[in-house]
Amino acid sequence: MRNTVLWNLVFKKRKNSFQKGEHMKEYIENIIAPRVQGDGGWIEYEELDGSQLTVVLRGECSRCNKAALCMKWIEDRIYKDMGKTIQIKYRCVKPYFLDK
Amino acid sequence: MAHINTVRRSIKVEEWIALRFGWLKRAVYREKIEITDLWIREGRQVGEMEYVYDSEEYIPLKKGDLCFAPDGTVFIKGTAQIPERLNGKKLWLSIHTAAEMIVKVNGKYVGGLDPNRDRLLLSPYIKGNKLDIEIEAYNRSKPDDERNPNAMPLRGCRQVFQGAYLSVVNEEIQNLVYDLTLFMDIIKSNCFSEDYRMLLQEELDKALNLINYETFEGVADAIKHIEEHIYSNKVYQGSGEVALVGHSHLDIAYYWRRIHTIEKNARTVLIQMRLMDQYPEFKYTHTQSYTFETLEKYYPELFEELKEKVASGQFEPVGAMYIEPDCNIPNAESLIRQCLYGQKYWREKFGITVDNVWLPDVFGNSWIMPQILSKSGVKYFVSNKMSTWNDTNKFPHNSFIWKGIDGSKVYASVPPTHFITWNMPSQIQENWDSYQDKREGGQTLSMYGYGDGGSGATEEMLELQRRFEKVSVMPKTEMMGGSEFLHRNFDGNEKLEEWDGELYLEMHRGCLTTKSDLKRYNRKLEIMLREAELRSVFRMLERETYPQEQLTENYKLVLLNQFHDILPGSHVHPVYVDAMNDYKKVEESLVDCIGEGEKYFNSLNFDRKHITFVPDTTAGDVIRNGIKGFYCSVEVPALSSISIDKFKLEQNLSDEDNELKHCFKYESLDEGIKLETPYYSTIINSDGSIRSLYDKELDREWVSGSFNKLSLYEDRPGVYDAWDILPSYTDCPCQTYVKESLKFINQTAECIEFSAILGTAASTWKLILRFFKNSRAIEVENDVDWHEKHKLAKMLFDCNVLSREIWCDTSAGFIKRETHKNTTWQQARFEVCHHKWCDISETGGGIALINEGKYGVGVDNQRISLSLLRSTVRPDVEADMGEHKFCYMIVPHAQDAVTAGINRMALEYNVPLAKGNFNNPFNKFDFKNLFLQAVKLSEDGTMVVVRLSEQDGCRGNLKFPQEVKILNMLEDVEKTATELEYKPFEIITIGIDLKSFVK
Repeated sequence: MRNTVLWNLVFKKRKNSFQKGEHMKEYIENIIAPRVQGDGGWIEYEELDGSQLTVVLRGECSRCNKAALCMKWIEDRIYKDMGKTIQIKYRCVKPYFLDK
Repeated sequence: MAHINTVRRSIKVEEWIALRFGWLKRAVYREKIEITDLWIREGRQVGEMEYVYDSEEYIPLKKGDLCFAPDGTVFIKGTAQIPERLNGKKLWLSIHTAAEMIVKVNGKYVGGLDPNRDRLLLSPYIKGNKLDIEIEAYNRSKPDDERNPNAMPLRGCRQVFQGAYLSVVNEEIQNLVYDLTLFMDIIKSNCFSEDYRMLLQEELDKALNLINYETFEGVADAIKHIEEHIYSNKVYQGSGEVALVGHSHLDIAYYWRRIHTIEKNARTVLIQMRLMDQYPEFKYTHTQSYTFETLEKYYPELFEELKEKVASGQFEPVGAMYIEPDCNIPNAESLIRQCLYGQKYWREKFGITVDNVWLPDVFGNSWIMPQILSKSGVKYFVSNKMSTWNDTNKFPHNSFIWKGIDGSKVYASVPPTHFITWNMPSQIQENWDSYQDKREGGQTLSMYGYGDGGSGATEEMLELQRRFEKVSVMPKTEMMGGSEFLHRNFDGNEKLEEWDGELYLEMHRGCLTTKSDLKRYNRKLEIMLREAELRSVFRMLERETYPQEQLTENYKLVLLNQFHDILPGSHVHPVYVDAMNDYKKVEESLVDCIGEGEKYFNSLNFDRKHITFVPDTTAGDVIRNGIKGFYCSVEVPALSSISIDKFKLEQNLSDEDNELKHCFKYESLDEGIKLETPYYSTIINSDGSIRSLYDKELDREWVSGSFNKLSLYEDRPGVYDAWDILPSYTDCPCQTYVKESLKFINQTAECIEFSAILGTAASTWKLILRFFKNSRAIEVENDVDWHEKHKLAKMLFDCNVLSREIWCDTSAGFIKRETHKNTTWQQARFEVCHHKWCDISETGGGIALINEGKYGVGVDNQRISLSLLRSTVRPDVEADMGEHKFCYMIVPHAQDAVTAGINRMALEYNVPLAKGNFNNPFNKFDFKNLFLQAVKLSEDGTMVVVRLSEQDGCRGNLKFPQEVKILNMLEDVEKTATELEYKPFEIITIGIDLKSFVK
């Protein structure tokens, strides 16, 4: 996991390109993922197709019944940080012992 | 005639009782007034009491608003006015939340809220009608909330704010609810007699019939009925004696980072102290002096209050250790320092030496512990897991005497049930029923209070406790502190049986291997700490300043990361990142402490004579673990410095040595390579495994099957993914293939190297085998790019050795374990812990494996399987992914491991020969064969502390050139002596006055 403090500095410097929607993968990996991991969750960037962002949820996120609320929060964060309106589609990959 | 089953479709009595119970619970609050003036600021914790905020300003917070974010901490403030009609009434603040909240009102800490309690009592702590409310709240959705079913619907990183209320409780209804909670638990439990449960059901039904559920009139009549017909009924009598000890298990890190534990601890302590105000009889135990340290530092007001509660006897510090460490992987000196720093804190802040260790959740306990505990002021050991989590054999004792590797003994309590209970009658009865030492051990111990993430006891638990003595069918219960339980039931108890051996947990065996980087780094830093302290003492004796604070800080940071959910690898990803950052920080600081020099310093107290790798970017002719250097076999006297110059060494080779330069001969075969070395005739397969290893000196073959064979297995133990390895893992081997066949890569004056590259679709595994001119050791370097999922990687060694024992290093001696699987006890030990080496030998010789940071090993008759890597997904999806570099040595040898000096060889392998110019200040001391485990300045700064460890199982006498102080492990002086007898595996601590070093 990259150093979040360092990444926040990088983020501030590259704000312009973030605001163009570039580097979405890095944004998800370095800004959003560390927060989600803090509680046993896991989020991965899968693809960005226009304004449709697809992510994969693993760990505790994969079985959370409030995942939709979390995705909305991420959409709001993306809008705030990047100025982009994004809809997030997510798919859950449960750990094998929960994959019934 | 066809028979039709009768099915009752109308409500059953027990369902009808449960329904009305639910109605009563909903009516507990007589009045709730919403607090509407609330404001919230969202943020995230990034350091100890350090936050970044999502906004500069607070925004309004209303019921129904979404709040919190992943890993979020929020700050809520607001005001409320108490209506006049509520003046004089007992007032509560209630918030139904998944978050963990610390609440201040009018600047004073009034209590805490969390998923286990949704109200706190305000009245005793407030004056006037206006309330200024401040709340700090950390949200989590950790699975342990599942223990409390009420908390489950609230789970999730994003929360819908349920509202905050000034509330008045209908105490009559609340009391009835507590009665019903108690009795309904008994009704549902098979631990109690069916007749009694039928009686309860009938009488509860009658009691509840007396209530009008529109108006709730009749509650008093219901309570009276229960008193007269249930509490007063003494026909049914229980038996047994159970000590109830309030406790909250607090993981320093787990599904949260260490930084969050500061608030968890503060919240837990605050809640328990407020309960003590409400329930003066309540006693509570709290472990880990580290948590008291953080409370003192960040919540001084709470700490002052806590000191008063400690003085009054209600709040009891338990546990001599600094934290609750893993008790398998840390070495002996680390465990000693856990006690040293833990007890130092208790003594300084509370004037007490705690005489117990409190380790409810650790994953097994090393045989070296009784000695360390008993020499650290500890008489009592408490740990739960063996009784509740063993998967094969029932651990046969709950109250016993534990005898250690050196013969030291401590009293031991392994309570029959889990350390997290909620004081329910069924849990208490189950505890007594499961208690195996009823005749010998006195009371059984039942800990109650929510935990893992703290939280602790609740009002409900204490209310139930007040009712227990009226319930005739229950065992006799008594609330007490941990220390009282231990003293009362163990002191002078001669009936207790003895357990002589390790306390092996038949579960969580995977933790010996999960997150191998942590294990490797921990070992490295334990060695560096020893080096840094020793060198600092040597410098101090040459008039330099001893960096006491720097060394202590570094030691404590390493100890902190030995917590039983950090070092074992059972934690979420950010915890791993924090630990690695901590380790890097300690390493940098210790490199600074260790310093440099022109010469090379042997910090071991015996002559180094085995093959050594010397880093040298200029003259190096080998790359080992990515570092350039060279191998040499030069003798370095104990605690001395010498110059090592590779070129001079080569120039000084004798004719005999020169001839040995040509001592390696190899030829390629169809499958593999045949190699001749001064010690072996060997055939190595294309995949780096050894087909044959004929020992020229001992005239014997060492290999019998797969030897140095990399083997991968499916590793899916279930929900405890990071923790467990199943015994059936060998049923599902996975294929690897040879990416690059074995080939010659390098030859130097000292060694010859061959490499092979193996792989799977996802990973690459490079093996480098090194054979030496002047050593029988065979080093195997592993350079792995690991991207598997659900795989366990082991290296197999089928040894041509007939032995019924494997000897395993414990870091303070060795333990012998059987290699056969006659009984379930031996079968359960299919994966065990070892430190630097393990060995199987017959009378004439054997094979040792020496490692630099591996702990898990299996043995099955003559097969040793060294556990190398895992790839688990819970709690950390990415555990162990990435690059790994590590080495181990295969050492065939004559005689047994002790005679062959395997332990010393392993010490040389693990303690690098690093640069430094030192003279030996102990040159007049003869420490015999004892290992110089530690040299440090005493905590009080008056003497040099020398710790010696007997590791070969021998006894003897030490004679000192001057009078020395004989210390315990807390550095208390026990006596002075010029001579000292030592026992097998004894650890001795002596103190030498500083002034005696003055020249």
